[in-house]
Amino acid sequence: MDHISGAPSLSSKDLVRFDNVGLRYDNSGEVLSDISFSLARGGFYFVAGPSGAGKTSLLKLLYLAQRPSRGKITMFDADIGMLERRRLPGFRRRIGVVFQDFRLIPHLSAFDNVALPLRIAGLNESDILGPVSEMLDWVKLGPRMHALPSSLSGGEQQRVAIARAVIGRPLLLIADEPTGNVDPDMAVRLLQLFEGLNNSGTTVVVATHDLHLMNRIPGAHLMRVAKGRLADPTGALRYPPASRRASAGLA
Amino acid sequence: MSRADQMPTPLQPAQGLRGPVPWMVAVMTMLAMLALAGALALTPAAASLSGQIVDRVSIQVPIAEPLQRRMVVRQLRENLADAPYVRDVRVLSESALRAMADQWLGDAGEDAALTLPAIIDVDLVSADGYDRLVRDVRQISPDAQVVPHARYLGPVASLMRSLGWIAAGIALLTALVAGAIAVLSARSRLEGERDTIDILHLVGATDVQIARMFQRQVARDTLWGVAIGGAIGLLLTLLLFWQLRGIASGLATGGAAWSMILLLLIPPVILVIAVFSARRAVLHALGNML
Repeated sequence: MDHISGAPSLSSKDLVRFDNVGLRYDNSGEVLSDISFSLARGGFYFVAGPSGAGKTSLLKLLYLAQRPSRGKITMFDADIGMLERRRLPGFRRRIGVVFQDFRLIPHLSAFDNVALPLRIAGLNESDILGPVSEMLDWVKLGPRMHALPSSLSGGEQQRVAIARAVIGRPLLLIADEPTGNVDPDMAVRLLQLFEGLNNSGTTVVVATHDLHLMNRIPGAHLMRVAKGRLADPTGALRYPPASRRASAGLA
Repeated sequence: MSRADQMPTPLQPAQGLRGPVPWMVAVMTMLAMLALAGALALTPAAASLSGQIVDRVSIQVPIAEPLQRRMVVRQLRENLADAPYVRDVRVLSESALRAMADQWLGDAGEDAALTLPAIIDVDLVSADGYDRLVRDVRQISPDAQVVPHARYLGPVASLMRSLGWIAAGIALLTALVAGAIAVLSARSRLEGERDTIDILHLVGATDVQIARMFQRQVARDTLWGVAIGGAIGLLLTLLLFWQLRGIASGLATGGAAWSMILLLLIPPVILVIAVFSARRAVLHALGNML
């Protein structure tokens, strides 16, 4: 497994690029500081780190639930910090997200939850039925497609959440602890699904504690987050990037 | 309407008649219709009263001696009947005057010693003839008093007009309150649906798509409200006008069709106000989210 290292250079192959990004909520201190990295198109990335390190905040920036407090995020060739709010939905439709707590809509059936992104995108019902049914079959929930989330087990809900995230064939798939609630066999199947999507060009980012899971994808990159900063493979905190050192007179 | 608008709503199903909103809207709709009905009845009644009194005057001849009084009355009637500015002259009979006095004085009105003035009602061709009438009357009887009806009934007509405008204002305010109820309901629902809205945003829903979902729910609740309130309001209005048909003829005259159209417009107007107010409120709130 490769590890993310060094401040990235701008490349047309990059799908996402963070430059000196910081994030704070309200008036509290920064939960993320000096984050710089880039995600190549078609790359597979794991985000690891202890609880409270800032993994979820990093993912929120990636799936556009937050804007950076400072620094610059370039995604799909656009500066996210400068992006007009009305353009955000178009960007979000290119991103699939699997949440740790599933975030299914409780009064919609498994089918309707999975179909949601397609319906939001304005597809015909006739174009929705086939792909959604196939997707539910794949995650072994075909017979339960009309069940409400409340009648599904935790693992089944997780599979619905994953199906919803990937149904729109996103360019970027972000998963926060996607295998936390599924049995080992299903975890492997899900990882195979992610790998399959990755092989077809989707950039995949998975936050996980599961080291075994990381080892199953040999070509994947690892990003370690500690105390709100991106750490290098040795575990030491990343140095401020050159541009910041220069502006601070440290170069 | 896009296909995304026809999908099963991700929002909590509307409570319909089990919730308070339709009933509050129903009450507001009914009150707005009753207030507007009042306005529609009072305004033509005031106009009609004004029209009737503006050209009418009474001449009082306060002469105690009956023979002389009758002579003056006759002379006034003959002169005024020929005057070009007078349309009609009517002398109130003594028996009619006694009957009027009885209403105020009881048996004392029958006292022959009680002197009553003679009263002559005059309809002028136009209000411009008033000054000439006063001059001509004074030439015949300097003690006679010319009393324009507008002096006494004008304030009543003016009060009726004011009440009509107040009723119309109440109708408008009530309709706006119904809209405000819908806005408060949408905002409260918005707070309860924060998680769902986050999900919708993250799967790429636009603010307009989300606002339409709320708009449909508000429309459904409000539709129930205006239907119930409109039906009751219309029924009560018809009942009231049926009971008052001899007194207030505003709806029973030529303006009846227009009045009925205006009344029937209240429910759809409230529906439109409620839906668009709620949509604006939701879009504004969504604009403050990422």
